[in-house]
Amino acid sequence: MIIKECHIENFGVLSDLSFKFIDGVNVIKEDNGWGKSTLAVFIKCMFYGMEYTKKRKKLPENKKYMPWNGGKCGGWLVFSVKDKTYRVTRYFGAKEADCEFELYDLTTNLPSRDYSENLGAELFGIDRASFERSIFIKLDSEQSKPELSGSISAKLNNLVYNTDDMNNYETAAEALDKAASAIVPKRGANGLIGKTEEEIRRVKDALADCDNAERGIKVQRGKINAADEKIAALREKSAAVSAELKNIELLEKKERYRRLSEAVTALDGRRAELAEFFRNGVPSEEELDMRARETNELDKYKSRAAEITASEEKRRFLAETEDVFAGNIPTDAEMDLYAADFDRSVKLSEEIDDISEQINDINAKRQKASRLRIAKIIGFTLIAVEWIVLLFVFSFDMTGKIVCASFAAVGFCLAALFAFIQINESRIDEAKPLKDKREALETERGKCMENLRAVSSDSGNTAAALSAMQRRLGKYNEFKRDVEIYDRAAAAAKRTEEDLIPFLAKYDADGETYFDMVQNIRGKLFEYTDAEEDYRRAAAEIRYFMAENGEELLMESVHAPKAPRVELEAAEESCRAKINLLTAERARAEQELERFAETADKRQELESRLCALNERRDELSEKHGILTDALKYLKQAREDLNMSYMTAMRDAFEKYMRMIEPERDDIVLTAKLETRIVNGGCQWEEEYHSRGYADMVNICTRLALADAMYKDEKPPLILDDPFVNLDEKKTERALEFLRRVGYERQVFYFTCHKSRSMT
Amino acid sequence: MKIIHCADLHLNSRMESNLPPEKARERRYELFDTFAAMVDYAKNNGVRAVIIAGDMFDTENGCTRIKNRVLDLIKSSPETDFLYLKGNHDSADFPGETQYPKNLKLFGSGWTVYSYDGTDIIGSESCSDADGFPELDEKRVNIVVLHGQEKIGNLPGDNLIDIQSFANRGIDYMALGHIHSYKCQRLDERGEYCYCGCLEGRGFDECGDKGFILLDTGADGVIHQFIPFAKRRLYTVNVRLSGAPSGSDMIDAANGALSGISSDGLVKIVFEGDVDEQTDIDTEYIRRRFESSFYFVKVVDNTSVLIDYERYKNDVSLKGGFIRAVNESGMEEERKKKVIMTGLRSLAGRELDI
Repeated sequence: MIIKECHIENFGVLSDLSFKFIDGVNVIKEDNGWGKSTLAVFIKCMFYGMEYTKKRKKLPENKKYMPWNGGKCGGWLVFSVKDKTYRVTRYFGAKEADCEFELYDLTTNLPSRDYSENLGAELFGIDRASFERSIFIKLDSEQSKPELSGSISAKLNNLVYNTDDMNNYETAAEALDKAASAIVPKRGANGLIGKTEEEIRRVKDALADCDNAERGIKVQRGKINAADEKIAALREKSAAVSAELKNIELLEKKERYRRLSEAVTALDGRRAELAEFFRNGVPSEEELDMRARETNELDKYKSRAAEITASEEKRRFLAETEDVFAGNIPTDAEMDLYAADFDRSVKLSEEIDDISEQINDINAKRQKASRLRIAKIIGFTLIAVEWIVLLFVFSFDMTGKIVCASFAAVGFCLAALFAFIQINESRIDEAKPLKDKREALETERGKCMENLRAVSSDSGNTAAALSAMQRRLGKYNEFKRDVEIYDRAAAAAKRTEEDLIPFLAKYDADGETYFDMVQNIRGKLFEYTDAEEDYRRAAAEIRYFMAENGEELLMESVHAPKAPRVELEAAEESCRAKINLLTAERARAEQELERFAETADKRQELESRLCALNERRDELSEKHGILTDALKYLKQAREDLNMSYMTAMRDAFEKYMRMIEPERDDIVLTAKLETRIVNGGCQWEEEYHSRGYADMVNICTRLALADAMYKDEKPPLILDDPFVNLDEKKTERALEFLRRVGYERQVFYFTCHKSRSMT
Repeated sequence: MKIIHCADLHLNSRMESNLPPEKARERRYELFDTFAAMVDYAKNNGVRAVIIAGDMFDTENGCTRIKNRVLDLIKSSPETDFLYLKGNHDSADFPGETQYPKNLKLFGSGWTVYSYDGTDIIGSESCSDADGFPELDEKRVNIVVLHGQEKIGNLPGDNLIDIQSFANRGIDYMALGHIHSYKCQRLDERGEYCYCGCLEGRGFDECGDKGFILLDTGADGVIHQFIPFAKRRLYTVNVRLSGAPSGSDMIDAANGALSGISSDGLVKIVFEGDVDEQTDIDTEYIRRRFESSFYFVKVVDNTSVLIDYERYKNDVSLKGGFIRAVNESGMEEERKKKVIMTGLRSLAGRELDI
């Protein structure tokens, strides 16, 4: 491949620079600080892009080569490869994402897709780091020291498109080794096989536990079977005892049935007997209560009749009295009227007497007042006459005359006044109202007396007659009431008896009195009711008994008890207790068996597990073998590959060394691209070279490597002043060496000193 | 009369061989749940008897809890008889029970007969042929219960039953247990013999429909019908690969093969075929991709690597050199492939499966 020209728009210190390059050696001699290394980095960046890294220890290219003038960073480069010429243009931003890339095929002047942004790797088949190490030769960096990196080794073997396997050799070998060590560690036994075997031991131990558990199961099964046999025997015995107890129970039931039947029969007889007593009907208690009350009333009537004595005498008195009153027995009201008339007549007589006295008094007072008034009239008339006499007797003056006349006039007037009053008073009868009242009273008294004439014709004996009449009538009434009561009681007693006797006649009741008989019936009634109830209860009891025990109970055969019930119950209880004990023992054995079974049940699983673990161990063992084999053959392949490129590498190295040091043949190249000095049969490391010589050996190594790596398309070599440590003689040889290299490939040789510049 | 024929319940199976512990525990419960659901089915469909033709439990010493649960279930279904014939895996012992429920009926080592309306059910736990087989009333429906593997020719094996010895003995139906897949064949002109298979698949060797057989006995003999009843089904899906498929190619191929499989299924994806050495079959990655789509997923790589040694003859590269070195090593061909695949995986930076 040939780089034909390039243009740097801005890149680090370089700005707006264009270069045209030739085949062979392109010497770029500039002073220090011009930007030679920057140009070399620019060329690399045109192929690989700028390196953007976040590692802080290193100043990344994107920062280091950003234009100092702040312009757009980047440029273009024209190169030819395989008869085609391309122009790659790259501009770099602050971030990788801002980068621009264009590739033009200059034959057609059209964008080309022959290569992508990953142009360097696609052209040279190696990554940026490998590119730097193989064709980007600087002296002042550890990078200039070639080493057998994975990709370089791969490249050396024409692995243009298959570098991954060599790149990953170390990783692969490490992974294989790690995996193999995981299975079988280099030290100790803590690998997977070891762990699996440990697990196998544990499973075998668990299987041994299963063996023990199975033996335990057999033992517990024996116990269970023994317990079952004993329980069965006890159950048999218990069943026999139960049968005997059942026989006793049957006997008891039959006896009970017999007793119940007898009771029913007896109660039925009693009930029939009482039913006969009540053959004419069963009275109700209410009726009996009523009959009892009737007997009481009858007794009362009878005793009352007995209390009313001398009835014949009373009846005679009654007849006499009725004769006396000619059948018109005054009633009490009439007698009261007679008494009232009598009392009224007495009272009226008294009032009449009083009024007569009042009239007499009035008349006496009237006469006295009349006499007084007459005296006054006379007196005043005398006085008036006197005054007239005086008038005429004595010659009185006028006044005297007048006075005398006046007195006389007054006297006459007063006399006239009293005369007038006397006349009027005489006309008035003050006693007249009293007289009228007395007359009325007398009339009323006359009526009373007229009424009382029926009692007695003798008005003077009216009081005594009235009193006698009253006494008779009182006695008459008393006797008459007694007779009536007696008659009513006798009638009631008769009626009651007539009602009671037919009732009592219906029953053969015992008793001295009617009441006793009623009570006797009542007692029978109670008995009858009780008998009926007892019969019903007994009948129900026997029915229930039969329902409970079944008709077949009567058919079942029984035998005489072989042992007392208590004995049998004790035997049954003993059997039950023993069965319970054995059942508990059996349950314990079951539990134990279950516990053993839990362990024994794992056998199948454990055996499967053991089988799986054995398989796993075998599988691991096989895998370990496979891993170690894989590692072994991978190493072998690598060594074979190393051997295949070493010959070419060594030839190239010796060729270049002869160009520089034709007289020396003691320097050899190892498979790891390390140079050794052979002296006295020993190999010495390159530290034993002088610095300048070491540089030359290093350059030869790098060129040998580049030769071996790029057989078809040789990329240009970029040498960044690699001969600074050489003396003048060696520098001349080196430049001559470089010139000869330039015949085979394009070389970019950067230097800052004319002594190392090629003419 | 309706009868259920089931077998190989393996109720106390630990289920840990194929499944992780949590899933195994869940599946153990599901085994019992399915059995309980079958009992409900029997109740709801007027089934008179349930024949359990062996291996109700997985181990002879089954755990008490499960056995008690079984007893409770049987007690709670008094209208259905459970005719239980012990298999080679289990025993009839129920801890703590000295008296079994009346509707739990066991078979002995000799021939035991349980009679129902027009139907006799005859079973033996230890008889392997018709030697000593009782005379049957041919007017009745005769069902024979046995547990064991069908004897074929003189092939050796455990728990073998000479089924052909029962031919022409008036049998209408042989209810068999031991084989975990449904199988039904003619015994003679009159009868058939059937393996009902297990009720639930437990491993990927028990794929396909699992359930029980419903028998309907009557004047016409026995009509049987297989009832798929498993809560979950197991599937083994073979995915053929060739050339150098990428991871997405493999997933696409597996996706195609898995279509139609219920999400509650247990799936084993088996990659088969010949692939070249570039192929990276990351079984764990593929398993994870399908993990959420099914109840359980297992991925197995059974592919064979084809290495074209001629292709690497002139390949001057580390890989070429490695393959040539292995090829010339003289080791067995299969081992060569494994070594090469391991080396190439390591070179490609891929994880090494140990």
